[in-house]
Amino acid sequence: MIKDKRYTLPIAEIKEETTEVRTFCFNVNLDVEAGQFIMLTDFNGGEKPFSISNYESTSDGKLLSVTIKKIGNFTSRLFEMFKGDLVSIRGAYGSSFFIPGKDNSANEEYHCLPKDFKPVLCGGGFGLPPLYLLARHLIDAGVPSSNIRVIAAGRNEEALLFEERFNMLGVSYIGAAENLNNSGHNRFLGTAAEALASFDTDFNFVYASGPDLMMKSLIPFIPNGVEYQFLFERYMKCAIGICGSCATDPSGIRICKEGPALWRTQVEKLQDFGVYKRTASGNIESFTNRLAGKK
Amino acid sequence: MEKELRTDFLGVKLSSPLVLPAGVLDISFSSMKQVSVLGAGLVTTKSLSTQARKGHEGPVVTEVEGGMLNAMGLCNPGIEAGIKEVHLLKEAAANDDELSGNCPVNMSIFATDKEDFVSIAEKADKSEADFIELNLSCPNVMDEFGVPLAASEQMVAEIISAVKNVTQKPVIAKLSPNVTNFTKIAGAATDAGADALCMINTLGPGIDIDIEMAKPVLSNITGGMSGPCVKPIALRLVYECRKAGLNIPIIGMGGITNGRDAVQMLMAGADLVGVGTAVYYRGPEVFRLINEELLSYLRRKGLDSFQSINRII
Repeated sequence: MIKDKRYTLPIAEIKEETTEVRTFCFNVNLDVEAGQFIMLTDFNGGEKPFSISNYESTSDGKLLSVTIKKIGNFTSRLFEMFKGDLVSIRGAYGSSFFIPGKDNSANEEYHCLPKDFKPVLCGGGFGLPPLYLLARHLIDAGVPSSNIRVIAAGRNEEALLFEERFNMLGVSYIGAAENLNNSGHNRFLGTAAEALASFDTDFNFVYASGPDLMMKSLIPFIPNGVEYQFLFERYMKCAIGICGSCATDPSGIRICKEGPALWRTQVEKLQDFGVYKRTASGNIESFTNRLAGKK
Repeated sequence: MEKELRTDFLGVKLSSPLVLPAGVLDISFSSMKQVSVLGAGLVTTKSLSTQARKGHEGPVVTEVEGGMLNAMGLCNPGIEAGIKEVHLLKEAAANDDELSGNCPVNMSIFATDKEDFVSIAEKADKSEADFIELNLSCPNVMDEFGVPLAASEQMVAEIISAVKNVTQKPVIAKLSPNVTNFTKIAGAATDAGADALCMINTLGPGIDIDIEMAKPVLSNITGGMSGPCVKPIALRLVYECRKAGLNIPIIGMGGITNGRDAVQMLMAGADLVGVGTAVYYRGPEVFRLINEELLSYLRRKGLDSFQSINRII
């Protein structure tokens, strides 16, 4: 009878990625596509969306991972938890990334054979983890790993996540930052957009995940005719499409339902992309004010 | 929209009797416009207060057998921002080929006392909204505000007449089902000059418990019940208002999910029908779908307007 099932279960594993970023794993059987997210709560006030960074079969069954950055009260509480502590999740929710050869209902016009698919996966800071599950699914679908290039953009070396994991898949990983101690192998001194530009349009699809401004900065370097999908983040409450908190302007696209993965045609119509977000109350907060507030 | 579904409500022409109630897809002009395009005859804003409110911490919703509990906590951007959204909505509707400017809006407001209701209503009066709805009945902020105002006949009457004094717009009173004297309160609201009644707000409230962690699921602990399981109660309360002789226009809602539910609500005595939680079960397209289902019922019965089945039992 209940279609939105909740799973309250122990944390199966916690991996420390950096001092501020940890991956939490759960043994749970869900229908998961790359790009989707779950809602997670500890029932102590607060329930937040987290992108799924991995979903794999293990000897203990399915293992779902979310990679979480410590940014506020809620995530600080999670960082005090241990393996075996209980949390509650629901999902997986939202739209997913395009995988060649799979059903593609959100954009039926786009097709590409796996062997011809040459994507760039661009993750800004903490936006990178969901692209790991994407890379795995692309390879499973038959895309040669040598066709896949990952740009991990961050403020500094420490912000460049998942390098070893991507390397294990055999994809090329480039860490881009404006502040690097060594600019050696697999490093690019500059922004995500500059790293993309350095590829000289030798790609036919761009996936991006990260802050609005990072994703928006890529657009001038994506040639006409090259498709892209961006993974969006907005304030979420219900995550099941009724409250309207995460709706974008002007057409009402809900990031929890039609998103978080949006196609080029959807992104081009957004008026809030890189301009403003709505807060918990529904009020508009512009990105310029957000940046000013941080200084 | 088809002629069988058109109606006139408090002097405003609506393309359909379906209403988007307060609390669902109504924070931004974009969501409300989308719901209008999909077939709602009237859209209601989020309940607006003097100041912006963040609402409760999550979880704010939980699905339960037969419906849903929610305790959003009256999050809203505040009356001034709400008025701007309505302006943007009217502007967007004017530029939309399908709506061609026809997008009636009901502005829901809430306050903790009469004076506050009056001051927000004065602002709402200057907005581009067509109606003002008084949310007298949210069950989810009792820790903060105490028992909903809609539990007292006297308070309901005083607030409605005070608001009527400061606005020319039709005033709709949204009532709580969680009282023992529902028809008396509906009668008091009518006598005080309300132009229409909207019923029912969510039922209960109720509790959902996570047994693994032995914790209430909702951060507010309790939440108002909505969805298919509340429909029989909503139908009964609308029906009882009519049996008690109330002739005031009624927006009936509570668990309306398909055309058959809408037909039942009209028969029970509602003039318009709200559709909220059904957005969860059938998506925002639920408005188009219920319009089609209602139309197909009317045609099967050889009726030329939904008003032929309105208030017939």
